[in-house]
Amino acid sequence: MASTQADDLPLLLLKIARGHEQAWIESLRKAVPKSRRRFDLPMPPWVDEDYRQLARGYLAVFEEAVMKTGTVRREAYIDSIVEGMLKSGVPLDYLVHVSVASQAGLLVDWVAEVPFEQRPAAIDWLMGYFADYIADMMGAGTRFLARG
Amino acid sequence: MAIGKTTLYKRVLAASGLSRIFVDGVLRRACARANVNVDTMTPEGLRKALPYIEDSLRIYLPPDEAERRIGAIRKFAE
Repeated sequence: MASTQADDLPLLLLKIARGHEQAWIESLRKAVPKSRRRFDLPMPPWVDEDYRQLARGYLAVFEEAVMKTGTVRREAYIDSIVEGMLKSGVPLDYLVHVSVASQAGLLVDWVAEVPFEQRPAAIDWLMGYFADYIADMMGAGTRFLARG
Repeated sequence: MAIGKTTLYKRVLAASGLSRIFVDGVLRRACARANVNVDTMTPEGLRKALPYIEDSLRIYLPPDEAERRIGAIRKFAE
């Protein structure tokens, strides 16, 4: 059976994401200072390699979702970051703040590369993906905090 | 000896090249998948955890760097 345009859309978004790794890094770079100001956290600054690895991990998780190959990467990525940050004293609110801000930047950057007629569907798909991601992050953080 | 075993995990942490933001979480999770306790990790335990550690490194690092780091960690398991 021939694939439909709707089936192809996540694959198109993955192709765009792979070609825009630097855009994700820049989006995160812009988001981090905003969140630090909002929460006034005395955190050591992230270095370039931190951003690069976060971006590579995020793209691996996105690929897993698009290819529907499971949730192992997603769970590992979110749990590792959430637990690492919370253990270092960063509040969960900060993680949500920085994640929403950076993914808002991604939404604009990626959708700009989608053919005009497919943009509404792309926005709809990404809204769902990003919202699920934030919800999973909140869930991971809440479970970690509940364990004490 | 406990200190030596703890040091093995710390050596793996340092050799992984992963960001300090998540390195402990990533490696603890990888070891847990192999039922290996990082606090009592032995070279044998590291051998069991290696496939999971390797998978994790390949997610976050470029291919050439991941292979170089994996090679360094494998030496701790010998």
